[in-house]
Amino acid sequence: MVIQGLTYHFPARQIDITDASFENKQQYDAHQTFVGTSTLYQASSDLTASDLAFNAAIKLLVDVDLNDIDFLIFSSLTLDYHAPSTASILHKKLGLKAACGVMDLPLGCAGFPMALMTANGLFKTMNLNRVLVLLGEIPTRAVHPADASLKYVFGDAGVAVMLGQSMDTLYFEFGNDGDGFSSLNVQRGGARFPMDISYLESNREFPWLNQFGALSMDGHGILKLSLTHIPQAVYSLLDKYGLTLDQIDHVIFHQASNIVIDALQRKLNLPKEKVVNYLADGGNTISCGIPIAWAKAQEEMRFKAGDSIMVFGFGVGFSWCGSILKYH
Amino acid sequence: MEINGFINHLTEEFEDLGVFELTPSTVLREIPGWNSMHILLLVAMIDFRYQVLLSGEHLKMVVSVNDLFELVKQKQGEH
Repeated sequence: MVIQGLTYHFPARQIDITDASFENKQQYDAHQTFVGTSTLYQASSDLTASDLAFNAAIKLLVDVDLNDIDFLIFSSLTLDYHAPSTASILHKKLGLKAACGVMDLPLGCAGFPMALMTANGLFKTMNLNRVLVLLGEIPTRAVHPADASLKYVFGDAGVAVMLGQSMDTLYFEFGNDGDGFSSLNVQRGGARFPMDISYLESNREFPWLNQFGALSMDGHGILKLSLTHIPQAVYSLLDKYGLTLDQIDHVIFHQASNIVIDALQRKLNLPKEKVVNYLADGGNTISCGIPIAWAKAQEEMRFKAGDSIMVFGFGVGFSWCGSILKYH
Repeated sequence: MEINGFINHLTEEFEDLGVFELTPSTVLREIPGWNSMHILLLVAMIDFRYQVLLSGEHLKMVVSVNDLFELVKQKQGEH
């Protein structure tokens, strides 16, 4: 399987993070060092995750014969409806053929490699021409304005990726640690904790929190889970390919925050220039982060034909998934 | 594991906080410019250099640099 094309889209509202965003310069400097975001994008209230993905798809599908697309996978934690699948909505909006299957993957930060893994399985078991992976996330809709630790971390985005058959054999490393529930979750709005009247009333001033509930994150917990599971998972993935880390040209971790990316880079003893980090423009866009970083590295001509690129997504769950792709 | 080496490692991590001198009795939260994210930096450094991954529960009991040093030493001993 191979990536044949990749586009992304940021919504129009741009939030520039400057020292004026913080109480003092020292707090701003700490933000730049630890989080690393300078610009975030926020979808206006009339837009949903599928709109952002659609806008990315329009750019990707120029000159593509839609009849070649045999499956559409949509990755998002902020789906348009409980039912039907948002992939079904996008299928209609894009005018894909009836014989094109659809599927949502609401998996969060590991969503992109998980979508690659799902598509790879589809290619292996069926004679498909192309699989279209769309990703859309609007985490700003789940951030409480009083939560200073989240306000300047998460941004909205959409991504479109075209996948096709190739001679490349892909392997995947994946896993889950349910103890991660307490470190990152959105509790309201599901069957366990429905949005009751008192919750809705508490958000009178922040009505967007009534769409998905408020995101809660324990940064220490996430860092600990990342350092516990990811280095080991990276080595297991390398074993599957029979490669060592020095044979990998670029590593794209989930674009979480500088502190998590830098801690993994150091623990794995990776040269800094191999680690792709584009948090500054766009921030943490959940499952969109890895493919956006891929696209930006590509724009800057950082990849050359034959390079081995490791993608490793991890986060909410705590779930993870990674793979290594050859750049064509 | 010695406290002086440990303090050197901490000082390297906190370069962004500017010039200040850490001693065993320095109270972490009283370091000028201390931010909740410095805890994460500490956790990552201690995991990298001392192979001890501290949880939030562990750190609740830590007030001074020396408390942190003793905790890391104790956790290393448990390995």
